[in-house]
Amino acid sequence: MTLSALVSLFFGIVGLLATEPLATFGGFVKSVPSAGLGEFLAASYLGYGVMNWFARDTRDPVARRAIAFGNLAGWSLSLALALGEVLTGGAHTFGWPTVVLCAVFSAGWGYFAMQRARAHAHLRVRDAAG
Amino acid sequence: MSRSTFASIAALVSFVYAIPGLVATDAVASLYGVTLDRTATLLSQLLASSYLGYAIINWTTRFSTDPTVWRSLGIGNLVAWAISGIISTLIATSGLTNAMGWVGVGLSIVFTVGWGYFTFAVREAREAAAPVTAPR
Repeated sequence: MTLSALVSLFFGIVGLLATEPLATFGGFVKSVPSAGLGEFLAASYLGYGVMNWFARDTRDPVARRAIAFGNLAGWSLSLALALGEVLTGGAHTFGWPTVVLCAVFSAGWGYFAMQRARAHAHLRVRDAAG
Repeated sequence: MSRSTFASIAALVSFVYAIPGLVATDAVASLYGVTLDRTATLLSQLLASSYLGYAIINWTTRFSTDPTVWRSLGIGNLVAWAISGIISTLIATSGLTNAMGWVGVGLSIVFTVGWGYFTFAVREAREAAAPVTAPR
């Protein structure tokens, strides 16, 4: 969770403060809509970073599971989109590194989401048994 | 309005923005009077997928009573909405979008104020109401 928070914070801050250099370095086609959307995306990542950072010590099992599933949804959909972009010829400097990053964090959040779902189910069974 | 109701509304708004943004990206952009190139389409879909994550987190934690969860989710949402509000305002005032751009500005203001209230104002009220225990 801490690692994911740091990665999100990094991409959020860099995306907000250096949108243009980042687009140039990445080989993206620069346009007004893409610059604006890039900033919205960076703001969203910054929010994830802050959320994951402050929630890293929470002991609430429901919240831990929710955060894991929320992050898993974001990362795995991003993985599918990034992979689709690379495979359909939209490759740029960030193409494969983005795919790898998304795959690593999808796997990580997937692991924690499943582990927490199992722990939650175990608790419910124990509660039901009295 | 309770925090759980507010978190539910925030989750629904994120969901409503996420699903069309993922499956009908160009149609949503045309609502705002914007034409997307390939890069902008990808960024728009990545943004929609991150909104889906927010929707899941806010919806599934709406009944949480853990103050750490309240604070972390509140600050995270507040940061994202506040910065998005500034970007939306800059875009809307520069005339890059049609009048729909102001809907985004309005939503950003409402949710920035709301998350700010439930993160700071309500927390202070809870702390002030908490009984003070005397040292032994």
